[in-house]
Amino acid sequence: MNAEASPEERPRILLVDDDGDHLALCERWLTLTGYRVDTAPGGAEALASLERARPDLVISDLVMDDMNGLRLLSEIHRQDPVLPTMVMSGKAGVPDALKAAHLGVSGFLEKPFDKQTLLSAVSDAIGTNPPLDAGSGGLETGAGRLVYRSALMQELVGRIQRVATGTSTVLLRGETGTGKELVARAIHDLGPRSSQPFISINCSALPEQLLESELFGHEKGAFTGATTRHIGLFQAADGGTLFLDEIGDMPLALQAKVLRVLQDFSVRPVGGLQSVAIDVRVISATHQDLATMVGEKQFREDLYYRLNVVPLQIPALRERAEDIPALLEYFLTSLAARVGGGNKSFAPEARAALLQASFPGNIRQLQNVVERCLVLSNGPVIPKSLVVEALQDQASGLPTLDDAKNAFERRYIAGLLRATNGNVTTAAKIAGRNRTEFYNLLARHSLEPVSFRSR
Amino acid sequence: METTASRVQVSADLADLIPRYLENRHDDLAFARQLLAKEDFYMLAGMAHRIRGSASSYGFNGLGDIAAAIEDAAERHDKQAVASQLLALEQFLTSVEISYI
Repeated sequence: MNAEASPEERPRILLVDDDGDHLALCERWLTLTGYRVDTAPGGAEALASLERARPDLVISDLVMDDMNGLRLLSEIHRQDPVLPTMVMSGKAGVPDALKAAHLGVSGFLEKPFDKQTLLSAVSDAIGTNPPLDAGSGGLETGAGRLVYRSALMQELVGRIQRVATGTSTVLLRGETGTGKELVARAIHDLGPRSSQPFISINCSALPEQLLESELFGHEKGAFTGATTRHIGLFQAADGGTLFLDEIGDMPLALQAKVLRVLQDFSVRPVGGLQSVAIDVRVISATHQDLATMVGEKQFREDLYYRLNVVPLQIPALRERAEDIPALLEYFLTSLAARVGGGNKSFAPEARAALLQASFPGNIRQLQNVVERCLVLSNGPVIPKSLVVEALQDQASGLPTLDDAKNAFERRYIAGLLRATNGNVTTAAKIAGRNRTEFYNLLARHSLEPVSFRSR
Repeated sequence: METTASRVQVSADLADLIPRYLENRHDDLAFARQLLAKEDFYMLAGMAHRIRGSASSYGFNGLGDIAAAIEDAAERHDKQAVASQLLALEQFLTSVEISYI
């Protein structure tokens, strides 16, 4: 938050909670931070407040006596679809969380929470100069930003900071597309080697001989085609960091050579007679289970222990789904600079679809989906249909049984609504469900009966 | 029975909110006793849940624990346990010592 902003420039937040003590507490925290705060003890007063002044963010309790928080937010979204909203609750079940996501809610705070949690969430929701220190939602590296809000990632960033100052080897484990290279870069940038080279190589991208030459270098004439001397990456990274991605794909013969480098702190180029002393910090990464590979003799045990002095687990995107809103905002801004489409935003139902998606390809997949939507959307608001299409096309391989069931269920219910002209009572009867169950199904699949009714 | 003081640390930024906060908790205690006499466990659980939602945020961690215990006991319809926890709540409110940081 820019502390020097004039009173009119400071963001305005509407707080809604029928617990007077909690309302007073949050108002105090936000006011001390410099936000303008309006309060309302219930839904009716909140709507009245909105008529007087449009806030930059609405934060509402979920369970209130006069009007349920979701009903309030639903009404707010009807009136103002792009107004950011957040929900707080002491008893959020998954159905409420999904309903809130369906309404495009950009944050979900579980009570009791502390001041920093609230301020982080607010900062992410209204995009007010998120500070670059690691505690509050973003870690800038030379290769991009580690965007996060979740406790899981906060913990990881804490470990990154501790690991960065040392020289131990680090093994990053995580699924494809989770940002392992970004984490490696963060470790490099936060440490004493930050002004030295950071070099990365994907060990699965090259055939064995080329990989050997890339890593260790070669002398002129070392093999057919070696017409000049070539400095390898271990030497090029001297003083800095070498990132070995997909280390599990490294052939056994090369594993032995890498082990020698780690033991001797020197490297001998292919065809060379002399070793060259080097000082390199090695960070490696894999999506495979190296311990199992060791057992199956696919990976050297001695190298495994050398590489794995500090293991860091990078969570899959589905484990940190609460980071998706912040990631969406980051990609919308950063990608727009490259592909155009600045000032575009996702419709609430589109955001809900993104929050409910499983993202087997993790952050890389999310980035691809955002980029595709930016490029293909005509207007400033990206509709849900584009998101659904992008998600389907990005799906890798065969669906899981759950995904297949979900897709069938959605097609079946959409078909029923078409056949019954959007009549929920009849559709529910045909489906063999009561109205409440059927409405839950509609909410889960973001299907609006009214859109199936012919005019 | 010897009363052990509950020492809590509360942010100085909240100092002026505390007297009303504690007064409200005293009111809650009185109302809770009425609810217990009527065996209205649903309202008791709701009240305890509300207190739990802000106690530790204010800095009253012990109070949050007591509220959680009341909520659990009320959900089990365990009259004795609720009564016992209301005593703990009374003890907390009468003996709490606040230092502002």
